[in-house]
Amino acid sequence: MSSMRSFVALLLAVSGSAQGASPTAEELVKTYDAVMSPGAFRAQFDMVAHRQDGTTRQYSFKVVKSNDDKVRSYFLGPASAKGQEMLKVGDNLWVYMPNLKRAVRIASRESFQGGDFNNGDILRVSYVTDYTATLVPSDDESLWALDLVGKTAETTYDRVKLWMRKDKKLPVRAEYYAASGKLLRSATFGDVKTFHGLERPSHIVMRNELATKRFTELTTVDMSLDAEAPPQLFVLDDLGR
Amino acid sequence: MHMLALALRNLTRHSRRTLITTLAVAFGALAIVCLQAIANGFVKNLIENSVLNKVGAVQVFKRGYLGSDDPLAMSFADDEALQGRIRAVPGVAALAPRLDFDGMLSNGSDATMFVATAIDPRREYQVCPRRASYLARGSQPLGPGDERSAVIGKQLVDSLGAMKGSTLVMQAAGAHAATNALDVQVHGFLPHTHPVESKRLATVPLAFAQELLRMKGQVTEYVVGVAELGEVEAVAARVRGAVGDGFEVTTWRQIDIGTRDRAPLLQYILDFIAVVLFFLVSTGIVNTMMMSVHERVREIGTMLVVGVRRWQVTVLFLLEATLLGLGSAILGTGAGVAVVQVVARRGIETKLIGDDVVVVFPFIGASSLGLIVALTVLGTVLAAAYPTWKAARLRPVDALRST
Repeated sequence: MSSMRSFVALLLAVSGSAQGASPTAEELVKTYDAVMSPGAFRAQFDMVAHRQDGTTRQYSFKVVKSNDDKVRSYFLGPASAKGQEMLKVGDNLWVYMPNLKRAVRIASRESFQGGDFNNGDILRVSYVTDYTATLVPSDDESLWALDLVGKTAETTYDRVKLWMRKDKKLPVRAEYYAASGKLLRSATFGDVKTFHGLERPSHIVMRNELATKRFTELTTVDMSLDAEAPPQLFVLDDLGR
Repeated sequence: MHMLALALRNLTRHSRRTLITTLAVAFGALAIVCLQAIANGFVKNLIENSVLNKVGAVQVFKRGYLGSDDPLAMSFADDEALQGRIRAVPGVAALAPRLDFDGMLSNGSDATMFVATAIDPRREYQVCPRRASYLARGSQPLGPGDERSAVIGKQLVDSLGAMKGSTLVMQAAGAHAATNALDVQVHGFLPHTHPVESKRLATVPLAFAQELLRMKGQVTEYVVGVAELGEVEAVAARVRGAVGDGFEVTTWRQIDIGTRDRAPLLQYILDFIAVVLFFLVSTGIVNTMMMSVHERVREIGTMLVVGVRRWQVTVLFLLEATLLGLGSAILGTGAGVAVVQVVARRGIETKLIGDDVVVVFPFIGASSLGLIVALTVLGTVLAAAYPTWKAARLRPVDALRST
């Protein structure tokens, strides 16, 4: 019996070393985070929300993220959203309304400016912190398939399926599921560009799978990792200044 | 006593005139009783439509829930012990748990916002019995067996191109949970009375909402029915004592401000109409009384000639008016109460907006009846006072000469 056990152990060891080249699920998610939500950055995005009646709405906003996962964003357009700001500190999220001259607390699961991204998608902290990932068989040889399950009930989604390119370790598509197992959203990541040395997909299309006429495009206009933002940017009282 | 007997004899002596005057005054009292009863019925209906339909008489929330940025975070455990404490409060008739939330309703290709109240069908209708019938024609209320069904505003369902029996997807997130989505069947429709209700509201079973929001065993509110709606503030105060500081206890007046403000306004308007009617009736009474005094000027002259004092004449005539007024008022209000009771048996059907019919049940209280009797007597006496005073002031010879 003990020889049988050592045989199995040997088999496992061999198979482990054979796959030594492939990263673990956690390493892949860390790579995803480093690309899609790096430590500290300044970036500018354009967003186009396609509504079910066929109309679109375009937004332009800047995001500043600190090394300790605090996020501040500024809306540059359209006119109706100009002057709005958002701040995320830990699990708390506020939006500053210039016409009210005050900040209103919102939930990260709420829709970001009425589009198909949630606030948590745009101002997300990290997949490594929020989800437990496992590698699952992929239907495409060139892609790794990952199954991410929320560590707590408070994550933006209950479960995420993520496909990443084996060559560049960049995300290609993702599916976001509810606790009931229903597919809520799906995303495709395309148009890989290099921003100040960071190679990442610059164009994300988020589709609302429960309202398929709706989808939202998010384009990275610029992103730089160099600057660490001053801490006072991430204080509630600083909103609107 | 002698005067009273004389007054009574005078009234019976002029039986036809007494009958006419009595009928005129009694009819006035009857009209005011009926109008007041209908006004009461309308106001009561307005309040009950709020209290017995949706709001409930008394509500118990976790402290901080009202006005919270994130109300679902202010939910509390649906606890038997807490329920028991509230049920034990004198004046409490029933209790039902609720969970209020919002989210998106979709048909697959389109999605639109909704606001829902989750109810326990076994308990809800004990607190809000009218909710069971507050539905569009042909719709059935949610029952204990309807697990994944919703009663939804007609326009909301129409906007998604769905119909009764269709399956839609409700998408919502609990306080500390990721967005979840569940299939839900359109069980029926809310009435079309309020456009906002028709466009945005839904009622779902409590267990369904708890599963969707992943808030098992959690509720946002207990609605409490009271035995006597007039006692609502006293019952709320006792419930406040029973649940402790961790909870906020409100009454329908704090929750449904619209109804709270509309009810007195409606009452003022209807009271104003009653006052106008009272003045109209009074002129009739004044006219009849003046005629009846004028007809008897010669009689007054004779009385003065045989030595009756002027004040005695005045008192006699006022006594007659008082007796007449009292008799007529009792007759009129009695007949009014009888009419109100007959009408109240069936109610008055009033068609408001759309197809929805409101049934108003008129009623009147003893204090209002007392006031109407008092005002009628006062009106009759005042109407008789001036011509009597004037007649008693005449010189006997002029009074005897008048025709």
